[in-house]
Amino acid sequence: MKFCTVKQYFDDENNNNVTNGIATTVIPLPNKHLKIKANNKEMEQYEQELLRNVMPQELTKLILAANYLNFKEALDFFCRTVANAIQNKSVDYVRKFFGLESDFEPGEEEKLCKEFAWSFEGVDED
Amino acid sequence: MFTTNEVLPEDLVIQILLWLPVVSLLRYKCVCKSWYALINGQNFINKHLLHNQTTLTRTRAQYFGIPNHVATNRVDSSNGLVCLHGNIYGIDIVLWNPATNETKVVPESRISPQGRVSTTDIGFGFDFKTNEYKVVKLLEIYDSNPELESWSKLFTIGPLMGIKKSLGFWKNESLFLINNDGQLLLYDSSTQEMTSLQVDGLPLQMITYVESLISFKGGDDLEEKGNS
Repeated sequence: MKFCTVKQYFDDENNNNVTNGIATTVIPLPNKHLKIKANNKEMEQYEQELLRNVMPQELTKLILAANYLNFKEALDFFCRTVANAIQNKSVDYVRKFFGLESDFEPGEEEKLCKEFAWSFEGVDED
Repeated sequence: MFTTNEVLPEDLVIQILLWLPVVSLLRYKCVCKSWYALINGQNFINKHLLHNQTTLTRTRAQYFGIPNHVATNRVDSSNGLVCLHGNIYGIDIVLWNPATNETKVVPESRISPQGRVSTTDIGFGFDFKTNEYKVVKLLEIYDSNPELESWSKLFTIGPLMGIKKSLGFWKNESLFLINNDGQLLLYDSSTQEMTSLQVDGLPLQMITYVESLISFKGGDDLEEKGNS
């Protein structure tokens, strides 16, 4: 079932949604996944490898590709990888990562930060 | 630092946020107004809880300080909320979300049955039919004779050597045990493997806990009560 979309992708030459580089990372995943499905440790290692070789922004593209290909396991895997990469980052880092801007009133943001001041402890430097 | 040429649609952003721990999500409420509304929304809170309950995570030890050092002798957990039963400032029962650090004092019960009464136990759970959280107080009244009930045998585990006592089940297949040296072990009854968990201190009780964003609205915070 997953491979219907993949086949369609190869047939459709004008596909802008999935660039070649991404396809080479996403397509081999099913095989890898089947082999190491139950083994959490290997998945962790693969995740570390992925993070080293691929820029966080590229992960965004991988997520979009996995979503387009309707490939749930890959989507879950990439989302979790991104989450692990950003979970200890600052609010500013997250804004830049997702291309967002703060639309709070000047005083509002400070008030919010105070409410959960303890959650800002131990955050990675930018 | 980065130039974003791909902006993720909201449903994919949610997929990423579901994997984040509560402490990060509380912080990211400050990112922008739409994220604030999203993370605060009941819809996302429920999805996040469900995600935590159904995703396989590694067993790891996490230590929480019980708020205001409530002397606790009984603990129960449901949906990321923990119910503490103890006695401080004359307060009997406190609800607590360790992940968001919110507390709520449960008001005293006005029920007073006849006869000599002692509280034997407190239970806490979520009633799916009425969509409510319920705290149940079990009372022992010394006037009547308790009825005899029978226990049925469900299954046998073991035999296991050198075990002092069992603490509770984990995901219906594994059992937490304490051996004679006071160490915490996890026994998987399907594979019959015993794993030693490196945990300091002597565990008294085991409950299954997952993080959640669930918030208490209205009612008294434990801190406020302490000051009155």
